[in-house]
Amino acid sequence: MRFAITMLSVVAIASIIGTVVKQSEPYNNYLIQFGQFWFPIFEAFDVYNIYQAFWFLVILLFLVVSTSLCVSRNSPKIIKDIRRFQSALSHNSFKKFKNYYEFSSSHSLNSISEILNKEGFRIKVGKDKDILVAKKGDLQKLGYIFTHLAIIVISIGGILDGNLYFKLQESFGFKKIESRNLKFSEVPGESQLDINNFSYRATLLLKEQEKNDKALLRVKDGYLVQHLPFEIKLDKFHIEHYSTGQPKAFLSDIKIRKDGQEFTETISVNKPFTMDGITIYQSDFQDGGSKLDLTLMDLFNRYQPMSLSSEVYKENSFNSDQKEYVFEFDDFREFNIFQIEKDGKLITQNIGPSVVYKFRNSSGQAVEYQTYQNPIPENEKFFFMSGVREDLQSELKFLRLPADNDLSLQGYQIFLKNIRSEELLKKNINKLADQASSLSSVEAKDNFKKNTQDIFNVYLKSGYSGLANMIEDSVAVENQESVADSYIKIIYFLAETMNQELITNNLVENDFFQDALNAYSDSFFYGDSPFLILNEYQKIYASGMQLTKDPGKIWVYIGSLFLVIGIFCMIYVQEIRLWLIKKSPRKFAVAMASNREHIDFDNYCKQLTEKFKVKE
Amino acid sequence: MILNILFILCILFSGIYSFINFREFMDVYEIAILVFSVPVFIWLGNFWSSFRKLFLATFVLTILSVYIFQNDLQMQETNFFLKYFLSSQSLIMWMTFFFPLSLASYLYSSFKSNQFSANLGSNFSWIALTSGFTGLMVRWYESYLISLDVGHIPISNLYEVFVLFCLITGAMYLYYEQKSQTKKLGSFVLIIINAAVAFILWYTFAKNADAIQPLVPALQSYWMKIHVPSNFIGYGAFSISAMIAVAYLLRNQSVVKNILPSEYVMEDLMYKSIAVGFIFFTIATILGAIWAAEAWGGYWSWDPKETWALIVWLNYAAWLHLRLVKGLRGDVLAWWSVIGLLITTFAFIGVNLFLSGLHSYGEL
Repeated sequence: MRFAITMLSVVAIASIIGTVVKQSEPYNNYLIQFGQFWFPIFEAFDVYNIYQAFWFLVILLFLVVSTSLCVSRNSPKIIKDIRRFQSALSHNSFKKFKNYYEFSSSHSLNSISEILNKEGFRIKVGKDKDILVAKKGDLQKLGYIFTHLAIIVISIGGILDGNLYFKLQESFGFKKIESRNLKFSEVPGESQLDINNFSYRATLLLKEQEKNDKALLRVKDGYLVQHLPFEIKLDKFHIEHYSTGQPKAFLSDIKIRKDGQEFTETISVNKPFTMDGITIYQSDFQDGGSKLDLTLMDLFNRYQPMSLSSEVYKENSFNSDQKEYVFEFDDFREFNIFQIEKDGKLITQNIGPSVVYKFRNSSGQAVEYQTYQNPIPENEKFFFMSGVREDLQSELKFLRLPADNDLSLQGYQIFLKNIRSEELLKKNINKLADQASSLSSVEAKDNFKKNTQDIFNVYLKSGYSGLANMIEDSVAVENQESVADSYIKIIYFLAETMNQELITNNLVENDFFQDALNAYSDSFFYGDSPFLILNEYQKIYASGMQLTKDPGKIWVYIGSLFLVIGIFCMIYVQEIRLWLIKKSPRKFAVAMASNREHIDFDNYCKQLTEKFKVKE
Repeated sequence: MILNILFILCILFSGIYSFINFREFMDVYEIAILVFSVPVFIWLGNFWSSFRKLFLATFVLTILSVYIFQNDLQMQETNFFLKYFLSSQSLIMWMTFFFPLSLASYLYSSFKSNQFSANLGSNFSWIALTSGFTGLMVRWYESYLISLDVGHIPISNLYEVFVLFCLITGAMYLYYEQKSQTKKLGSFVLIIINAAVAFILWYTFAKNADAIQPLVPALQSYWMKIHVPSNFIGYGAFSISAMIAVAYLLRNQSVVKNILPSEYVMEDLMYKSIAVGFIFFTIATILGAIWAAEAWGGYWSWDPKETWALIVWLNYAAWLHLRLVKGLRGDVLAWWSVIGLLITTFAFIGVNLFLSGLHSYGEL
């Protein structure tokens, strides 16, 4: 018993460890988390898959065996107890019981028996005819057997659904975990499990229109290939949304083909489909290689916009400034649900598709980008947004290009072209110099022109931060602020006059230029990638399904039912033993005892005795 | 007698009305739950007569609220009665107002031996229960006013289940209070209810958690209607037991010596609430396993929440084993029950805060 409790505690502690250490992660994560020293020690104890660990299962098995022994040892005694009456005690001995009453009544022993019968007692009248023993609540004792049997049945069901089939074959050396990254067809036979495997929880990831008759079984740091008795094809995966944009349902339309027969089914979360004892669940989804039609726009207008057709999971090489880069498209999200502020209230809204990609240079360094297709509202204006981060741990920093009145990027593209046009710059600086009446001499004018051009060129070359550096280097501290102010004014004025066509064509409003200038300045922090404009797309999903075969489930459920019944019996059925003696024609004595005596029991004894007293 | 007839009529009316009008929105399991709940409620009223009053008060107030709403959610901003009394938000706020009041009354009665104040404590709790239950009912209705597909039973996120916890714990306490004919434990049990109330207030004002959100796909199941309440009967009962255990452990301290019921009564209540909690917790865990088998593809995944539920279960199984089979009584079990509450609290909130897993509906 002591040993069993110790083992139970070990199971409890191991279970707690299993909740703290995330289970079944890639082993590399653990190596990073625990370091070189602890990683192999924890691995030796199977901490990463603690619930499947050999020692864990052995302890569970031990507990099942010990519970079984306990039941088999106690059950005969209990059953005997139930069938037999307690021995008839002498008046003198039951007199000492806590619930002992003497009473007078006109009842005969027979009519008292009737009362007891109604109360659910079983009665035996003694040889002397004036002594009566009765008892009730035998179910309470059965509760003990029920609960303990239930635990055994549940455990057996659970063990049945463990990966015994593989474990046995593995221990004889027939099967082996595969850890290389291979296609299903290349996985060697020793890592494939046939359809006779009686229990498993495998996963299957299918792109739309893809099919397979094998699934993946993750084991420790590797996997096995599980053959299925049928072939599954994913026709279509779809997401239904609430009006706020939050997902309402994930559904997969699948076709199951077996022996030339075909079944069409739709599975969704909470609505799985079962065939041949295998239940197919909707478990997750990801992109299945969506097709993307993109325009690449250089943020410094060094080359004309180019078009690019690609797919998620595809790589495209790209040259810029005589350097080689690679686009790696990682994900395409058709819906991005965000909480945004509208009329002073937070509302949940879908802001449309986004592309996630890495932009890798020739030395292998990659920067991650997430670019949204649609302009996103902010303070009654709209911006095209793209986030950038150099490592996956940091937050995305956003570049915000202002949209024009047609909600397109065309205005910004024209702006970009114009401010980088030397000819336009010269023309407008001349105009500015001519207008400035304070510049009387030619020399002063030329000086002004040169300075203005320098300022603008610094901005063009390195944005506001370049100007800030320049001011810091060449202007006295007390004047820096006013100089910066005038520089910004000059740049703003020039940008506006250089882009008169945007205003006259009614393509942008006046407040466009401030945002555009900010955007241009921020572009220096955007990295080398051109800005992606997503023209069109064709979303293709991949649906993650889980395939479960669990013949032990039914036993677990049956066991659970017995567990509840058993607990109920143990707690709420009151076991009572009763002795009654007729001392003289109208005088009785009664005593009651139970293995669980508490307030309710005492009250019941009192009430029962009252019933004996009354003559109906 | 009249009360009883009225009670049964109201239940039958609710059941039949729902069946006739909302049948097409329910699947076969939900209809089964509806049909089954009619006799369960009638039984509950029979088992505990005060439940009838609670039910009738909730029934009348809910109907009144629905009547004023006129199927227009905007009414809660414009209508005076809805804005301050009968919308779910204000009803729940009234609950958070009356529970502290109840605790204060119980405390006053304990230290001044004032029977009137003790009665006031119970009555405030009854008012809190009535407004809380009505609040949940109205919230259920309001969720359908947002949109038909958003509508769902309000036990789906941390805010809603905390309200449920307060109500279930409060109701169970009041039952034991009547049964054991002592109001002396109110000062203890109401503390844990008010801790939950404090959380609700913080959660509402700091996190705006009281907004009704649509259900994520994993929660769209009739199982939620039975899994969650039975779990919270378990949690509530364990909490009551732990608070009584605290009182039990303090019984010899001079400060509280005279304000506690007898040792025997406390010991008995401690056992009774753990017993009822254990049964419901067992059922809830089993129902959870069956639901998991349907939603996640396996009845047991060693998900942190599942594992901690198992630990809670083992803990109280051991408690009952010691008491029933070994006949243990007294301080050890009382301490155990207090520690049990710590484990339960971790299983309830700690898992959501510190561990990640499939059960991540109640994140802070």
